[in-house]
Amino acid sequence: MGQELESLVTLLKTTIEQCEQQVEDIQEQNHSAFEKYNQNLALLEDDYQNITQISPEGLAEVLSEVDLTEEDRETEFSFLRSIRRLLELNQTKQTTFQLSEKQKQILEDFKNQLRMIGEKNEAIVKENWKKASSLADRIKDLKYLLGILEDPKNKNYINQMDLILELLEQEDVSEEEARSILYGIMRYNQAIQKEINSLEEKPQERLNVEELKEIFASFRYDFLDLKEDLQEMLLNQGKMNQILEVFDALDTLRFPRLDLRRNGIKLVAILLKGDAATMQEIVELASSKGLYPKDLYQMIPAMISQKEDNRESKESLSIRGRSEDFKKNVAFLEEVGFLIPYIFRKCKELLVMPNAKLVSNYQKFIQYGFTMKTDMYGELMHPALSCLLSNNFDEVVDQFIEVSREGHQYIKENMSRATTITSPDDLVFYNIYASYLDHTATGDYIYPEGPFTSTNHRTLRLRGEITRYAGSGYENTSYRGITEENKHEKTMTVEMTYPNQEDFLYAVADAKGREEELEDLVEDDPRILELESYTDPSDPQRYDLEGVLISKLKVKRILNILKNYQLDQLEDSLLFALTYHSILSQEDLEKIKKIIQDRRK
Amino acid sequence: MDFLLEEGFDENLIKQLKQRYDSSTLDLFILERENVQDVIHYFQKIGIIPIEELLLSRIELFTKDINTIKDAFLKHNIKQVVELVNHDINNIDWL
Repeated sequence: MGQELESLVTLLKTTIEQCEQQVEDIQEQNHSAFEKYNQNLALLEDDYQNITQISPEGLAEVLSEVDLTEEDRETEFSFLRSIRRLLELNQTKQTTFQLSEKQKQILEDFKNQLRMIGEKNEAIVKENWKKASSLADRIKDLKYLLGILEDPKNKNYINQMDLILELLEQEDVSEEEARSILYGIMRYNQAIQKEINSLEEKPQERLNVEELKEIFASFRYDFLDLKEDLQEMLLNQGKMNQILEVFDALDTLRFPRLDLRRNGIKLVAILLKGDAATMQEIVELASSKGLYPKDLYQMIPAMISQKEDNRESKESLSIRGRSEDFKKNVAFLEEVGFLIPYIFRKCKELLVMPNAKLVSNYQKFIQYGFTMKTDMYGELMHPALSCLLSNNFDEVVDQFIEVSREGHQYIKENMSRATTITSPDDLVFYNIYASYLDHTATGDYIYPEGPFTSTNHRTLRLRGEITRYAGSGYENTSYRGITEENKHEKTMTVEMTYPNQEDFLYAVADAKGREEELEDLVEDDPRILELESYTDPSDPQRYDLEGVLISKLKVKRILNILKNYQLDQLEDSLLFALTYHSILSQEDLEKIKKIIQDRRK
Repeated sequence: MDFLLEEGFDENLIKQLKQRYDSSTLDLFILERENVQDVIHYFQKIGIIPIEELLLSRIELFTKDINTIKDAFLKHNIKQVVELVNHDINNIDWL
């Protein structure tokens, strides 16, 4: 149940309480009106001497309701009071006063007056019972509605609109609150409809072409404009109710028409996987952030419910719902200062990617000291945003930091490499390593290059033959003959192995992507504090271990994982943290081992 | 992503794309298949060679509207841009 309906529940409970109070008041009123006079009459009918049981105030009260002049009322009251006194004396003092005929007549008149009042009150009482009865019905309806809303297993629509509208017309319900409640009811009914449809639909019943042509035509589309493979998908996987619901939602939410010959796949995807409630919710959110239905056509998965579509599909169109990620990503990206239309223009993929990955990559991005500077790029692309799509952001950035002195600056200026290179073991790093060793002699492996735009910024570029190999399918153009098979041999680097390697590697793989959840156990680790003295003066993010460059954040991250996995008692953990994925010559490795050993002394 | 095969790319490219990118990114790519094909054709027409590398490295480029891409190229000397991109795909960032 949404928040809007929670306020309806509160409203219902308050109203029920008020109605029950009204019924109680009516009952009380009836009791005093009806019972009192009938009781008095019954007493007198039984024996006129019982007038002594009616107090003088009681007599005055009866007379106040009789249609008499004030004078007559006073006179009658005096008579009745004196009769009452006489009879009271008879009862208490054993006197034997007899009532005169006149006094008896007065008593008879009084009885008639009581009867008249009783008759008159009877009409009021009847009216009151009607009111009470109507209130009781209303309470019953209100309670029924409340029951629906409070029952998580309910399968009934909310269709008591007269009752609800009456409730919303109360003075203390603002127009905004009323609108929100009505919107909540609409969504609630749509969810029920969906549930009923899913129960009613016969599994795998194939639609026929004529049915689809008719439906498409009723929404001003031509089914035959779809490519044949898409027509087949709809015929095989389409569900009549869902298709109608989505078409209706597209109309209601004012989506522009799609050219089916060109974008038929988008329509088919939403017809097969969409639902009106999710579409409406996403359209409302997107609109509030400056995106419109036509933009959402470019992010169809954002409009497909994620909750009910979280499995691998075996269908030929395996588009998965991303509505939840979309909502979370919009909130997160706004929180860190982005405008959503800007993200949409530059890298809309960020809006539908898994939220946990986006958050983790962004946090690492900040940790490594990168910025989202836009003046380095043109209007079309934004590599810094693109790198948030990375599957292995930190390990790739670590490798750039380590593989050459210019590597950190290079990755800052070419941030999309963090996405395009997926592994710290990618061949491009061996190419850079090989060229970097030569660089001291030739100095041309990396160079600043000016842009062809109006800005004057020059950025570092790697020679094309070094980077082009990076997983791009140029297998026949290997740089210096370096291949996947011979990369260690050609670059004279060591293939690292460690004692307890399996445990270490398992821990790192297991913790991947959720490092933020781990307890920080290395901040005050004496080994980390000691290593600070090796900070590279030209790059505070890096250790310079006698010429061997190591990423500080890598060492801290890996050591922290090992400590969290209680693997740090093993004496090789520091060596593992320092050299994890590093490209090292045997000489470099020995230098690191010696530094570790010297530390122990 | 079989439509890439129609454009002359091989299964290996599709495999690499699946390794490199999350399924959410690939879903958008698949849903924009007509646009992706238009971008590929445009790149071929103006002489960009490392299209496969661009697909692997800058997938988000191909889901941008073809007209936006054409406009971005037209603002510069296309021949010069193509040469620079052919030399190093990262030059696409200046567009």
